[in-house]
Amino acid sequence: MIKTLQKGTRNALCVAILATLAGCAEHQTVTQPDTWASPATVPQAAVPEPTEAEAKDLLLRMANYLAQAQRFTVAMTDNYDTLQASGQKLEFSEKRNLTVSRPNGLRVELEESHGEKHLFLYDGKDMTVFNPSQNVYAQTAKAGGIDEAVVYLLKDLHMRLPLAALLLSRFPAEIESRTQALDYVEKTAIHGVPCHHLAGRTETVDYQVWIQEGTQPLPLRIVLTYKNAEGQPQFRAQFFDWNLSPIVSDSKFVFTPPAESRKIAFAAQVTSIAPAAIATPEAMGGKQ
Amino acid sequence: MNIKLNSIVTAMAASFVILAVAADDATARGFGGGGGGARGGGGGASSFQGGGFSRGGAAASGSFSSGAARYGSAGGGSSAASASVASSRSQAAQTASTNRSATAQTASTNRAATQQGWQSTSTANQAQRQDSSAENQQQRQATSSQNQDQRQNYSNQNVQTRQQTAQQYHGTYPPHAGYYPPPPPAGYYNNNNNNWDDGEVAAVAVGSAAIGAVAGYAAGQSNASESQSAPATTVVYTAPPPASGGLPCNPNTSVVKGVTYYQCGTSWYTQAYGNGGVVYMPVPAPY
Repeated sequence: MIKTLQKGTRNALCVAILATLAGCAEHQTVTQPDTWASPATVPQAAVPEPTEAEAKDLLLRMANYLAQAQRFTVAMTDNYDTLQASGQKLEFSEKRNLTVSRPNGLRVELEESHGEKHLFLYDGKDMTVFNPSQNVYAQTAKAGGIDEAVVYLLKDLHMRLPLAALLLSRFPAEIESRTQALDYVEKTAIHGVPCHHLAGRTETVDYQVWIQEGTQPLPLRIVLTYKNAEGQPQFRAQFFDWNLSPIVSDSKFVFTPPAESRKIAFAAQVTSIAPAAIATPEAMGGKQ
Repeated sequence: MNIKLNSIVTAMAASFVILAVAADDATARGFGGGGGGARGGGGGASSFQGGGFSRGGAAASGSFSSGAARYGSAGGGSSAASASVASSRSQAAQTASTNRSATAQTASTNRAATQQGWQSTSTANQAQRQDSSAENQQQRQATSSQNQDQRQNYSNQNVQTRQQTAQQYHGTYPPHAGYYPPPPPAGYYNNNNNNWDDGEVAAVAVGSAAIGAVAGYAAGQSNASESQSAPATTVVYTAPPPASGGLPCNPNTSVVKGVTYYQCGTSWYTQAYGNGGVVYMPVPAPY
């Protein structure tokens, strides 16, 4: 009897182990990111990987390449983590189409994951943010070119423009002055495009950047980790359809108010009574 | 008999394992693991509906520098939620802020050495980092308790200072009408200023202005409907907009000097563009 039970237990254990192994294999498949190349397309690491100095060279080549590009268009999708008051971490996403025409033209079309759209325009004189669903816009004068406009937008108007530093003509100096350490992680591929994976550290943000190999060292993906923020949330951006020689007319950057649109202020220019009392659809449990 | 028992035990074990795996999968699907996510988009848990969740935070800025968790928590962020949420975020921000100061101090002292390392060879850099790392660790351990005491003292001092400042501001309310932030001087930023995109500046600056409760708002003059603007002393009441739109009531709407105001009881709001989109901001009564 005891022998029989032991045999039964042994069989049961075998079944359990097999099932557990099968489950593990299945989970591994689910969690594998789809961004990465299949093993067949990943370049073989036959040659020694670049040193830190070479990693810096790659990073600055990318930064200089972007800074010196007089015109470009690119599509970008991004996802970012938000830590809720409950402690739960959620991810939101959005997509952007960027058009840059130095020194004065910048156009950003944004669509958030819940469908809300925004348009940012700068034509060298005025910067405008437009919300088509509510038909309202905020506008302010700002001369000086893209660099000054972008910094003013973020620093003084407290608006949001992820990866804004990439748009500046002084991006190389920005990234160099902020980076405290840089490593070459590996040679890899994204969607079949061979690229270099670098990892850098600034005082407050750890970043990773995947730079296309070859004569056009463009960023294909950037991941930012906010290491000092609670929950260490990440911002992840993927770039598509780089075009370094688009045909762009100046009118693309000029805002013409649509019929019956209303001009409103930038929130930073409105003095309020209590910051906690700002009414938003989220706060009121409603929808936009 | 033996064969029968053996079969029963095996069958029971197999059933248990199958049930456990099935339950695991069901759990994963139920919480969005099967796709669609938890925000109610495309097959996710519809009860979440997207509303009530904050879209703000440090990572929403997408910046290469960070003011930690304070992005969008105050001025103009659509993520400004209920008072309780704001309060808990404020506490989190305070904690993060104190932690940040300590980290920043350590990082600052090491930055010069690290950046110098950037200029030299890779081998030298690695050696320097290792030395630096060991030194830093010792230094951090040694000063940890000291910093904690210091932070507690600073924290208490800061709370007192803030309370006094707030009282002063309230005492002089409203200071003057038509306040407008002064324009930044030309060339106000340079390569040494690495914080222009960290988001923290936004929270502090707008928060400070809000405490001041400065009356007046002249920026939002209507452009498209300028010809319809009422004279300064005239208040035009129009039909209330639909009940949605984020206000706590079906407001009365007034247009004063081309600016649209929304009234809910004794509270007045106006629309403004913040870092999370269009929001309603509380303002002093326009008349």
